[in-house]
Amino acid sequence: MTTVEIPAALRRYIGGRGAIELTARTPQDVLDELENLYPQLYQCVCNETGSVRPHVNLFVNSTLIRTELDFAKPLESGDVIGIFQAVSGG
Amino acid sequence: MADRVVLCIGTKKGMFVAEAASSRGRFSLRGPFGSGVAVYSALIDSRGTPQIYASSCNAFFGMKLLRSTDLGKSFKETKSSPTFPKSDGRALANIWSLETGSSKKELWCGVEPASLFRSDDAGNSWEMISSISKHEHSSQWHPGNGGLCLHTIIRDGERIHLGISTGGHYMSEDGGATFTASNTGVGAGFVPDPYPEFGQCVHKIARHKDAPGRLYMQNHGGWEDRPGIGVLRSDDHGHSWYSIADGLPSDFGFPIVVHPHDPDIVYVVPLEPMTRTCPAGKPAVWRSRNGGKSWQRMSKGLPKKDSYYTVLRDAMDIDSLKSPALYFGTTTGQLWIGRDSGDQWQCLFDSLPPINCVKVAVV
Repeated sequence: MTTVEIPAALRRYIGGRGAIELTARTPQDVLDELENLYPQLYQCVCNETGSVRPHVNLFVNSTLIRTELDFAKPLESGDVIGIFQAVSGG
Repeated sequence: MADRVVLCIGTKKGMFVAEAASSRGRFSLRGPFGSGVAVYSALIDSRGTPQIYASSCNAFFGMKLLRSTDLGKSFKETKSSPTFPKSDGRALANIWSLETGSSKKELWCGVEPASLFRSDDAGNSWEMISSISKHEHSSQWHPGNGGLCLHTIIRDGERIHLGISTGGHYMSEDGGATFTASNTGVGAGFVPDPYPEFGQCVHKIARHKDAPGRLYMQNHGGWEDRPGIGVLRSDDHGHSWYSIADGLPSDFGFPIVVHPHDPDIVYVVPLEPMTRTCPAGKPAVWRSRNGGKSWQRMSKGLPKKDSYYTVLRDAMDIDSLKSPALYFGTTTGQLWIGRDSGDQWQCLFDSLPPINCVKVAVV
């Protein structure tokens, strides 16, 4: 199981929980499972082309992931996926 | 009996709602709703129990549509916002216009990149209208300074008028099944052909229900070598357009608004074209009482100098009371009311976030 930590701004889409457990084997699997199980949450993380939104960052443990290779890399037992709002604004 | 004036003020930092008795003496303010997130369009649907809709342009987590069923005391997200089909390849960047449809729960929505969506269930689900969203011209439209946006939807029975920046005026006469570029007389100052078939930077279009066939347009003017193309009128349902800019200090501006009880009375806010702010720092709304043949400057109560704000395309509206009041919001966060149809101006709120849109209704 992979733990996905959800930022406070998005917890309303999963009943207020701070994290969810998924069976995903890769970060891309995580996105696919989010799309199926929590479509409103998924739409906050990815746009309709499937790309992660430019001001959203995903981490595996403490490593930022961005490339296709990153998203295809197998997850290990105990890995934690973190979804974060990027530092930006005005 | 409708006895409350409700103002929706979409800002860079969320939605504010102001409310007053029909005497419009004192407005109370609540908000921001969707706080921290820009609101570019709002709709007060006063058919039946009033509902307020607001786009919420979340730079982090995407576009949302907010709905209030208690006159703007609280807002909730609808179940979904317009979304391009995966096969389309485009992603929603902003929501620029919201209008009511024919049936009670029908809504229309114009978005960026320029496309049109329709909902039959008060915004909980949406379908893309391919006749304009995938129009054969669409690959040749290009973004203006505000992005490639479909910002105006005007419904008149089976006729639908759309304003696209930068795409021009498109019209359907079959309820949206097909759309045709209809820009005869609509100029462009930024391409070699002064009157192209399409591709104009239309800023806003307005109509009055009691003047069939008449439309007013604020187009992108301010071109020294192509004067007068900024403020236009059509008398044939938008098939052709002609200039009504004579007498204005500038034909550049964004909003254009028609008096609710007299289709000959029309209002614009001329701006200096390079800075897009009030000419000489002296803000004024200009009014025509004769359909654009002549114009009068209205500035009583507005600052007399040193004011360099912009009034954006959806940031001016007029209420429907017997002696209506105009309202406009500025990019410097001021909300002004023009009582007696704009003869006397007063600042209602002077320190809001930059204002993108203003909508008013009497409910």
